[in-house]
Amino acid sequence: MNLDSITANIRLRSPWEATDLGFAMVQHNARWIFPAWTLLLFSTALIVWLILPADYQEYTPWVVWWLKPWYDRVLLHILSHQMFDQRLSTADIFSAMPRLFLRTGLPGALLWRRPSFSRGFNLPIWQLEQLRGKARSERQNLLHLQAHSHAVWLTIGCILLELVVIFSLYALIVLLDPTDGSWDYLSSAFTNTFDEETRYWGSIIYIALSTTATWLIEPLYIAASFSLYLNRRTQLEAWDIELAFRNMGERLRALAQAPLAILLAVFLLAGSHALFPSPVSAAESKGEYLAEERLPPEDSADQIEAVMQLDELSNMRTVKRWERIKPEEEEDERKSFTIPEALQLLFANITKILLWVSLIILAVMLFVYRERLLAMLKPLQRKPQPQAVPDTLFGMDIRPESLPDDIATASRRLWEAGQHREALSLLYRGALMHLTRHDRVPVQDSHTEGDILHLAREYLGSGQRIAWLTAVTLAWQEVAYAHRTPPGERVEPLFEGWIGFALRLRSGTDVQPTTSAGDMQA
Amino acid sequence: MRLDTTYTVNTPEGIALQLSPAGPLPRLLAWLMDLLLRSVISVTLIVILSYMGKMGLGIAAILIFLLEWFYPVYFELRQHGQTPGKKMLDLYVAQADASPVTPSASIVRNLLRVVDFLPLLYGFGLASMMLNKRFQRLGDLAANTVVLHKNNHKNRHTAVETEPLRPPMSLTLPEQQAIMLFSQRSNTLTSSRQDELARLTGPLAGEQENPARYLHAIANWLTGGRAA
Repeated sequence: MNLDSITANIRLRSPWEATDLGFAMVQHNARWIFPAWTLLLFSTALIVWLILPADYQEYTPWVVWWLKPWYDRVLLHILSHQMFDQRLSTADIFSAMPRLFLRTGLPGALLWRRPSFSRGFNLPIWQLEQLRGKARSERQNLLHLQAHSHAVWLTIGCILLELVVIFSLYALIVLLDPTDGSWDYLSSAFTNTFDEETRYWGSIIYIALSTTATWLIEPLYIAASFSLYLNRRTQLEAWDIELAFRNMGERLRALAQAPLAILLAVFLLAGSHALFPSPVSAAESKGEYLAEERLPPEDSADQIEAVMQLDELSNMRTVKRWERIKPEEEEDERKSFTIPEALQLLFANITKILLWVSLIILAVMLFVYRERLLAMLKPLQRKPQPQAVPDTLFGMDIRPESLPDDIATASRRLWEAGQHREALSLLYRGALMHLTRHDRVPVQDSHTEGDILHLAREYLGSGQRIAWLTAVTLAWQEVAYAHRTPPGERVEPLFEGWIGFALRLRSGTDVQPTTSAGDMQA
Repeated sequence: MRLDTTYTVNTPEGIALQLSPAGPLPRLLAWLMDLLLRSVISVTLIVILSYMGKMGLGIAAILIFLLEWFYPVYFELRQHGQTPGKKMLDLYVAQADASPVTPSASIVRNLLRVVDFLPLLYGFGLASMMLNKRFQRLGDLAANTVVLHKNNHKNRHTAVETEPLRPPMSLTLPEQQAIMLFSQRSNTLTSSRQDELARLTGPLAGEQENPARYLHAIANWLTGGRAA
């Protein structure tokens, strides 16, 4: 056995953690275990069902259950190879079966050892250690010393898990069966009053369910038992320490054999010494971090205890509460168990009144908070909350009140006065105001002119207005960022187009023919 | 990566906590213990309160209802996540990051027991645990809780009396831990096995006359013992 190739982490676990590791083994390796296992179990069940005489076919589950030690051997064969990183194919597993059949103490396991509650835990001694006779019983006693009760509880637990699966599957059938058939079957099972046909199908279903339960739980049981066994041996033989020591030995030997490596290591150690004092060097650098006059452990423990007694650190609290002065009186009253009927009625009535009062309070509260409650019942409004319309963009005030009434005229006047930048800025501000206030384009502070143009395209569609907006944006960008004044013949149409841009909004129709812009202006 | 059931949580202080989730089997047994305890309490309640006639039975029904639903919640919140059954199996309930279970999480995971109980006797709970690396049932997944193994380290002290000895070469942390474990568990190992193990360390203790004793001395030094 080569511990180095083991696929599970070897450490000393508590026995229950060990069983969990077994469950995790099955979880992790299910696709290597289940194909062969499924084939084995269901073919066995089928064979048993076929060879039993018709009158005894309903005993198939019992036979399949009785044969468990046989499957256990196959499962352990798969799991133990898996544990040491050997994945067996289904063909490998089936060709190993004759050997497992003959050399694992199967007859005893199927006869007088069948009722054993620790059979899963004992199996590795038979199968993997191949011990027999006195040696086996001594070995078993040794392993049982601290693990037997866990092995027994593991078996009981797995029986319960099988029952859980069977009951769950039955309940699932009853729940999902639209007819009353399955329910009638279950209720008549208790009165034993069904006909031959129902009985036959009932037994078939029982065979299927119990085999499924075995199919699901038995690998878990064997894996958990195997893991418990490994944990017990880890405890006895310190496998975890063996692995760690072996690695340590290899590392130290490699260091000793490679002078260069040693030099490097010395160099590194010397370097690391300065940076992070290693435990070894910490002792040498006495006095640097720890006081010379350290107390011996006993004294410091006393000191710690004394400090912990201080008011600030001890968790002592004074709790004040009311106490009855004469507790006897109460007890005397209680001694008479027969409570007068009047008192019972009183209790019942008080409870009833309390219930009604709370109901009324609930109703009143429902009424008072009806709006809030109804709001909660409404389907969530997918519409995002209308975003706050920005007041300034690019440092420009775009509130309607900050703009003149007739923007086109005002900006034309500015243009003619030679204030080109101000003129285009006014025009662009007006455009932004209309976009945010009237068209409800969701413009945010973070948007650039290009972003706004892009957004506006979705809202304005294609047409005169978007063309005008594009022209204004371009002109504004030119004057604002490139400091180039656009020629007058490019700007003039913008002043003229403004009214079209603005008016179209107020009329509420975005898709008027482009020619109408000129008409309206005229 | 070698297979293990644990997972690691890093605390803000940079400490890696190894947590070991508990699987279906210990949890089943813990639940059985709790069921037994609850049944005993319920039967006692009925017997005592039935002296009070129908009203007594009514009160008993109310109390049993509260017991069934809030017994785990009470213990999880007041007893460090341990119901009596969990305490017997050294299990405790915690949030997935090992912080104490919160009241809302405890209530959620225990109210959702009904879902795990479906179709009958925790069938869905078992399926959920087996399909999940941390063995969480559906209630645990909803409340983001786990049931963990509580490891109580019993023999923490070096059993062997030796003079402490400084290791002659620098050892990594896992190696130091292995040497300390070796010393702590030496009372479960035969002396020949101890020597066999100690010789595996090669240059460290392999050439020593009494390798096991030599390692015990180093372990003593590592756990804080110093020459007088």
